[in-house]
Amino acid sequence: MNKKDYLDALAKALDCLSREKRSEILSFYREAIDDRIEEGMSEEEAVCAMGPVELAAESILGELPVVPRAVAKTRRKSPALLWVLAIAGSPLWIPLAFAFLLAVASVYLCTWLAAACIWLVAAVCMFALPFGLYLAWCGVMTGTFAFALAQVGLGCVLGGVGLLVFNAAFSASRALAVLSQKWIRKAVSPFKHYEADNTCAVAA
Amino acid sequence: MKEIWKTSRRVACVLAGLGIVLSLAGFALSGFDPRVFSAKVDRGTVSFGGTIVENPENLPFISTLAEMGSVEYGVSSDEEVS
Repeated sequence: MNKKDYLDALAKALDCLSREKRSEILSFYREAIDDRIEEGMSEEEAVCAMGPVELAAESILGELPVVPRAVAKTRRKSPALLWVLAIAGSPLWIPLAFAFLLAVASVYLCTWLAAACIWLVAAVCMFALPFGLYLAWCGVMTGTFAFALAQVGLGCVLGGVGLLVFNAAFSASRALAVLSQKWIRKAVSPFKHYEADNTCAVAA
Repeated sequence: MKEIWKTSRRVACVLAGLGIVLSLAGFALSGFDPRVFSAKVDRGTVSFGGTIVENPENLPFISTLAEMGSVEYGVSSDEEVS
């Protein structure tokens, strides 16, 4: 079998995939065969070294995420079967998909609500400082100096606590951003592979 | 960035320490009366630290609150001294 026949057979075996994905895979195999030819193999030897077409196709489909793999394998058996299963199974997979989306969105929302609560506490504590100073001014104006002193003190304590909570809120928000990104990637993983790209940069 | 966080933590600790000292000073000055940390606005009557304030109209935001209704903050005061 020559290179063209091999790639044509592989393209036919991968007919269940999208055009872009198929062309990406064929390009990879074309380069792999060309590399072997450059190393000194003949075209037939290079094609033989790639393994049987069916085995290569199975290996490629096996690397897909769960849902695209199931869809591709069903489409490979019979495109009509895929449609029948999609329509007949819709009372099952539509509510499941909805419940899955709801669960993902709930966890994502709760993650950011937690961050919002910490920021709210920080804001309230930091607001206590100007409020305490205002009450102290009122105390001075009305001659209640002990009250004024106590309110300045309380305001300073809460302002200091607010600054510390502000630091914690900032760190917590960064950590929660990384967590929510990981959660979304986990949720999408049955449908799509993510490369390990910015996760390390975000965590740093 | 780390220097900014370090500085803000130091400022927070200094502020909290200063606040504790001032609060204790105010508490001691009031004769160790816990009502010194409370303020009450009740339908025209304003009391700071258990002491009823005369002429609260001079206080910008407090006078508005006094007209509106009742607001209590801090330790609840059973007795008030005018």
